[in-house]
Amino acid sequence: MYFLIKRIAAVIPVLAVVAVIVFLLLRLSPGDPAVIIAGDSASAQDIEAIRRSLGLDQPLLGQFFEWIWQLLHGDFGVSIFTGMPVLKLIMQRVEPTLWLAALTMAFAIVFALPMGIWAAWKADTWVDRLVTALSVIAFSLPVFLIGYALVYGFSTRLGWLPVQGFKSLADGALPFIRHLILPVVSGGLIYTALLARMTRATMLDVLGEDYIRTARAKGILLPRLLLRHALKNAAVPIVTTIGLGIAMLLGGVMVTESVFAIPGIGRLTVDSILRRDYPVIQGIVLVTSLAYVAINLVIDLLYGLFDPRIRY
Amino acid sequence: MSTPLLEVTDLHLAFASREGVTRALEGVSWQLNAGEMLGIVGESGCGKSVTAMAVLRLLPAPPTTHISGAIRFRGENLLQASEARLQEIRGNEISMIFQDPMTSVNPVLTIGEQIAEVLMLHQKLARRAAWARAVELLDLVNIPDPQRRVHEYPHQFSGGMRQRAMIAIALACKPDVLIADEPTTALDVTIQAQIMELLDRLRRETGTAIVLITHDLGVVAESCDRVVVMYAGAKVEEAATNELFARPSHPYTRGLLDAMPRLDTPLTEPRGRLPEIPGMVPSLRGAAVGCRFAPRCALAIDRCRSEVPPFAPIDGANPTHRAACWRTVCEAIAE
Repeated sequence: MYFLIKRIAAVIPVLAVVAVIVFLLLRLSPGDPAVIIAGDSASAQDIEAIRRSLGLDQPLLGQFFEWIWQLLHGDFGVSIFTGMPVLKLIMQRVEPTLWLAALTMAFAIVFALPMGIWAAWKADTWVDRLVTALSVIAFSLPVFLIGYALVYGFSTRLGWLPVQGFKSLADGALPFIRHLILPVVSGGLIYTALLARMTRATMLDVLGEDYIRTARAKGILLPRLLLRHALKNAAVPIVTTIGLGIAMLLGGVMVTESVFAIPGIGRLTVDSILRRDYPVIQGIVLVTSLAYVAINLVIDLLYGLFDPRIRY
Repeated sequence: MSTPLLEVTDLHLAFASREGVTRALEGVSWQLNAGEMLGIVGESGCGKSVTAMAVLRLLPAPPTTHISGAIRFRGENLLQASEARLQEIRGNEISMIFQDPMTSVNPVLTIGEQIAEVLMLHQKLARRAAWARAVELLDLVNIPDPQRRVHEYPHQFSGGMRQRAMIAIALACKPDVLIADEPTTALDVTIQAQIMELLDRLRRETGTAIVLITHDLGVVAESCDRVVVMYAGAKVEEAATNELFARPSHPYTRGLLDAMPRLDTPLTEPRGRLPEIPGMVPSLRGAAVGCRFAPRCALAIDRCRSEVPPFAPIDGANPTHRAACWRTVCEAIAE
C-alpha cells in the first residue's frame, strides 16, 4: 500500500519534466502556427494579429506558466487549428487506438507465447530454427509494407476485408472486427516476433535450471512442466515486454493508423505536428506519458504476482 | 536372495561434443536390494551422478549419444521404457533428491504445491486431500509448524529445511527407491548429520531403498550397507561397508581413505599434510587402454597400462568384496 502511494506520488515529477521538455521542444522546432493558419496570401500584419490572439507573442516563460496554470485546473487548452478543446479532441480519438493496441497485443501474445515456448523446448531443432527465421522476417518487414501487401491481397484482390477505416463497436461487432483484422495483423507481426524471441530466450534459461530437472524427476507432465514450472519463472521479462509494447501502442500506432486511415491518437499526433498545433501536441504527449507511467506501475505490481520473492 | 529391486547391468554411456566423444560410463553394474542403502562414491566427474540421472532417463537426448546395457527396475528394463511409462515411475516408484536445495526447488511455487502436485498426479488425490497429506509429510521430515509452512515459498525456507522439503516431495508417493545425489554436500555439517539421520529413519520406517551418491566417505561409513567405488566412469571396488573400510583393496579406494583426516590420532602428535592422490582425473575421451587409474597409481606396472583389469573377488573367502586391480587383487589370488 505504501509502495502504491509512493509510486503514484512519483508520477508528478515525471509529468512535470515531460511538460517542460515537450513545451520547449515544440517552441524550438521550426515552423510557426500563425503562418500556417493565416495561409499563403496573408500579410505580415495579419500574421502578427493571429499570433497575438493565440498568445504566442508573450515571453516563453509566460506562455509556459499560463499553460501549466490551465492544466492544474484540468484545462488542456484549445486547439489552435480547429478551436476545439484539446481534451475533447483526444477523447474522440481514444477508442480506435485503445482497441487497436489491445487487439494487436492480444494477437502477438496468442501467437508469440506458444511459438517461443515450443522453440525453447525444442531448442536447436528445426522447430526452433523455423521460429527464429519467421521472427527475423517479421521483425525486419516494415509495417507499411506488410499493411499494403495485406490490403492488396485481402481487400483489393479477394475483396474479403475493407481497405481502410474504422467502425466503432457500437456499430456492430462484425464491421468492427472486419475493419481491425488487417491493421492488427500488420501492426502485430513485429510484436509477435519480438515477444517470441524474448519468450524463447527466457524459457531457454529457465529450462536449464535445476528445479526443472527436479520437476522432470517428479514425473510432471509436459504441459504442466512448461506452463506452471517454467513459464511462471520466465514471466517477469515476458510481462515487461508485453507492457512496454502496450505502452508503445497506446502512444499511437502512427504508421498503422496512417496506412489504414484509422482516426486514432497516432493520426491526431501526425496531423497536429504538421499544423504546429502546439496545445494538442502538448496534450497528447502528456496523456501518453500518463498512460506509460500507469502501465509501468501495473507491470511492477504484476511482478509480485508471478515472483513471490518480489515484494514492495 | 530374490531378484534385486534395481539392477544396473553393464551400463555404457557417451556424450558427444565438439571436442569429441566423452565416455562417461564404461560398463557400470550394481544392484540395489529392497530396503537397502547403497553408497556410490567417487570424486567429481567419475560418473556417479550420470548413473543416477540415467536410471530415471533424465539425461537429455543430445548430447547423450550412446547408451547401452540395462537398467532393470523390478525386472523392467528402463532403457526400453516409453516416455509415458517413465513419467509414471518418476517421482512415484523411483524418486530423486538433488545436491543443491537452493536451486532444486521451484522458487515461484509454494512448497505445498510442489508436494501436492506429485500426489495429485501419481496417487490421483483430490486437491484438498493432497494438501492435507503435504502438511503430514512436512511434519514427517521435521519441519516445524507445517500447517503454516506449507503455504510458504522456498525463499522463506533455510537450506536444511529446503532439503527436508525435497525429501518430503521425493517420499510423497512412498517410492520403492530413492536416489539421493549428494544430498548433504551443499549443507553445513550439523545440518548434514540431521539430513542423514532423517534419511536413515525414513528408510527404516517406510522401507524405501536408497542409493546414496556422495564423495564423502564419512557419510557412507555411517549409513550405507554396501559401497560401490567409482573412478573415471567405471566401478573399481565394491564391498559391504565394514569390509571396505577394514580392507580397502583398490589403490584408489586406499588413496581416498588415506586422504581423510583422522580423529583418532592424539592432538599431541604432529599432524602433517594429509596424503593426496597425485595427478588429475583423466579425460574420458577416447577408448580406455588398461586401467584408468594407472597414471596416478604408485603400484602400476606395465600390464596395468595395457590391459583392463577384470572386476573380481579379492579373495576366495568373501565373494561379495570385489575390485578391479591387477596388483592388489589378481596377484594376491595368484599367490
